[in-house]
Amino acid sequence: MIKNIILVFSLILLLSACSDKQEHHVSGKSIKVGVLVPMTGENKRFSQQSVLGLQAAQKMKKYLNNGDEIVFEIRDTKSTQEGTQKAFKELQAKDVKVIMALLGSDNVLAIKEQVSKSEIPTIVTIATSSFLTSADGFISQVCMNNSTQSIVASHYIRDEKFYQNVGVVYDKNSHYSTSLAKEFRDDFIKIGGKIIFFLDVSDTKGIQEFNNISHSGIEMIFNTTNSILTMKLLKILKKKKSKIELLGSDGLLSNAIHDSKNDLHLLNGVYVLDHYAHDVHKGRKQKKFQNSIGDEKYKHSSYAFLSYDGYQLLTYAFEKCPQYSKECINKHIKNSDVIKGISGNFSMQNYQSKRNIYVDKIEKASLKKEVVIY
Amino acid sequence: MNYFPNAYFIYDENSKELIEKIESNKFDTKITSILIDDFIDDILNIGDEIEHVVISLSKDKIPEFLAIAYRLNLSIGIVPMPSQKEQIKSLHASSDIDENIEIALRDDCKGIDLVKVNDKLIYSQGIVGTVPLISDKGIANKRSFFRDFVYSIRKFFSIELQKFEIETDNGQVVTTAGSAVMVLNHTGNSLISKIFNFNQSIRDGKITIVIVSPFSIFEYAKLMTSLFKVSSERQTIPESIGYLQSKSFTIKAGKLKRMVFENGESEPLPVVCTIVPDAVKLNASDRFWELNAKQTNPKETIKTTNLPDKNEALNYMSHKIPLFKSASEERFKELFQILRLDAKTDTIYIILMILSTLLAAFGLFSNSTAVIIGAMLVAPLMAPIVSVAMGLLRAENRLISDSLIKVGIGVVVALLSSSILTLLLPHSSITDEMLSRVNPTLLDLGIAIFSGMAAAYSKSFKEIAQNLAGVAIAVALVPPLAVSGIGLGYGDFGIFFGAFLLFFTNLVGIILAAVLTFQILGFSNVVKSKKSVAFVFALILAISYPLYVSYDKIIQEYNISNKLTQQRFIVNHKYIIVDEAKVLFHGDTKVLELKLIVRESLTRTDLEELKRSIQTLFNRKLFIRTQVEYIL
Repeated sequence: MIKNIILVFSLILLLSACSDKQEHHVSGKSIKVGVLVPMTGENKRFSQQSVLGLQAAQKMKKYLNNGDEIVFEIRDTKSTQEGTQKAFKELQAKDVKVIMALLGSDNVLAIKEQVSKSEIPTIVTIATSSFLTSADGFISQVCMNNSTQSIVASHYIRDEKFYQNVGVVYDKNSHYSTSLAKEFRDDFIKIGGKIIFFLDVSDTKGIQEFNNISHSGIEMIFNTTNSILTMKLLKILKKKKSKIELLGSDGLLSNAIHDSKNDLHLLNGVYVLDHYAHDVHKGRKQKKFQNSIGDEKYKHSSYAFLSYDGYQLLTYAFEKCPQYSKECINKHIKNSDVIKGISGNFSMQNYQSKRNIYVDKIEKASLKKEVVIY
Repeated sequence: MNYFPNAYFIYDENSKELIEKIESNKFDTKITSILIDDFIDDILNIGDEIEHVVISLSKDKIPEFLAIAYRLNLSIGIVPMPSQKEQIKSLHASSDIDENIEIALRDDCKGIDLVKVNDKLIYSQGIVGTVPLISDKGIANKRSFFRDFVYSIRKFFSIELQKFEIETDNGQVVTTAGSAVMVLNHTGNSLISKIFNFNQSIRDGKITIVIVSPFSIFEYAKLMTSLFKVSSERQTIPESIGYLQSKSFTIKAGKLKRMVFENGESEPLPVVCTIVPDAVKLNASDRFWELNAKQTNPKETIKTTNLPDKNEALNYMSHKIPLFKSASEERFKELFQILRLDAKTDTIYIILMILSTLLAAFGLFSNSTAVIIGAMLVAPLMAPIVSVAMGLLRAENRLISDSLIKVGIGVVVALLSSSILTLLLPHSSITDEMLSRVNPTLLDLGIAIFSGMAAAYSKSFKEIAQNLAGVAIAVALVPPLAVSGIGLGYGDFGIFFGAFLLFFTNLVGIILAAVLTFQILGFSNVVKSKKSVAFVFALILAISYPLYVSYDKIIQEYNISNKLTQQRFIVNHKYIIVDEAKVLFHGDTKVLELKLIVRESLTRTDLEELKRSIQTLFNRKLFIRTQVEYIL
């Protein structure tokens, strides 16, 4: 009997030694972090994925090494610029040390001035506009920006697919979509490619025009529109039995899972730029994170992954700045060492992240890696 | 159909809910319901009043009730509860309770047989000996599931065969050895019936005796796997099983003292088992009676071909069975003669060694895989190595020394001939075929181990001996020796030791694997020369470290090249495709060789930036060499 008891205790000890749970000394002090997120309105589609990712990341590391606890102050931006500005003011009044902006580019641009005046370091996770950061600002972009995305897309099309003739479709109502389409157009022309059409498909007229346009001679379409418009375009291409390939911009699948779940099959074979691929090797941390997300359909969401990376950057800066001064935090968010992200290492250089970008192909609602660009 | 006008319904706590249903039956049968415990208490008073009882009881209580029914001459109808799946299955009853009630009340009972052991009535089975993990009744003590399981596992590894003498009703005496003898009335409920269909009916007027007689633990484990197959599809009796069917048996056992029954009771040996035909009258479904038709064939059945006979029984008695079955004397003698011949050094062997080494050396110099394979086929080294293994297993010092001398001579001859050839040749090139044999890894040890098993297995069976050629190709003993000799000829000890390590890996891997294979095949129950085998095992452990280091390098190379091959870099707005990535080791230094594809020309600044980007992907400092291809 005694032998058995010793055996059981030894096993428990052994297992506890293998466990990666760390005991934290709790200081009782908390640091407030503001979170801006569109919980209502049209951008609601990415809020749930982003918030789940942030909460899962916090669950994995709630306390800093000194025992201070990270506490979120979450505000709904209502998917409007006014709502975002109002929410920002509320967070400013709460004396938050950092703001996590889980917002699209348009709404981040709306608070750019407020951020600058308040000097609150702001981490942007999913907004990719190239106009968000500035040399002396306080906004840092954890995701890739449109300039990088545009360069990657244009070079991939030219040097990997060997295509010369490309059409571009965009949504004029989205700053993100318009600016990325324009940057791509300029980059592709600069490297010797030809843009056959550059079309706004945000309304019926644009869709009609896309339907009527001759697609002969076009090898690929670069698409920066959201998933709802993309599905309309894909239906037209399917009806025409067109073999033209489509390269979509970041977050297309994540949006489609939310907005167009019945039409996901249409995305099979579509290329996309993303921060992640489903078939990359998953480490222990990544699996744990995915399990912490809980909701099965968002386990592979790029938005959730970027929230995790943003949280890592946040804790990295907090660990470097025990006094939590805004200047110190901003300095370390602006330029960081290499940080272990959920889909690879990344570092910050001049407010922008240096990280892997994936060109994936969508198959059965998952992203299959084609190439990784660093 | 006629139904009984009066009947008792005997229920337990779980079947109370049936009272109302049975009492309000549509067949005009007047029912008196009574709890089983009350029935047993009051049995003397009510016994005479009743003729037919309907019972709905748990599985454990049914045998007990059958004994009562036999004693009081009652007829029985059984109504299983829907949750009693096992009972429903064995009675071929319906899952509809109303249907089962109708059958249970029919005045249409048929007699079933019961077995008496001495004077004790048994319903299911009695065991003399042990059948661990198949039928643990009587060996485990129901202390706790875990403890009983551990006990059964211990019994599993310590099965002993005992002498049994069984006399049938006709006076035929079967003397054999087995781990257990099981007396079965009706195999339907028994786990042993899953192993083989004994064609037994509950109305055939016969008892079935099953003798379990495994010659090895492996054979017993194989018997256990039969439990997962469908017995009705099996045409032949599984190995280790024999059975007898007769009206009565007298069972004697050499060392064992008692027969144990399912309920934990027992009877001292010897026992007399007799069948009581039509002992109890039963109501059951048509399907049940179809499968248990009345048989009057008085012929006894004796199936004992899988069991040791009277003389063999003495050899097996009171010994724990070995892990693997022993090979037959004849097979052993034949193999041993061949291996003795294989251990003798003669001129043919030396000439073949020289020829195969020179053939291998020329193949290596000309970088020709086909020629090297030819040399492997001519090489005679495998045979003495396999002989060493048998010598170690049987502690045959002569066989060990003869075959080791033969292997040693072969090695010296091979090294000398290939080094002399190297000195004579005017050029000194190192080909890819040579390089592929100077960095052995754990994978080579794996190849050697499986080749050793294949070699020993092929040697043991004449009919597959031709497969040794394939084994020789797989393990390739002579080419590494030839490379070693070439290394000596060049004075390059790196090549010499690297290739010799590969040969040595093959040598010890084959020996150890062959020892184990011969043992599994039953050429020795125990490894007699344990020290020698331990020494070989220690050698394997010793060489495993350098092999692991080489293997680790391969893994690192694979990871790095895999990580980079699909990688692209954007450096100063220039898109760089990594087409191929290869890692070379110069000592401990990793040199990364990249083949890049670009469109724009790369400057030194671009390359420096690229190097920085690549370096961030790895923890260790890398030296990078690139080859650039341009897209025009």
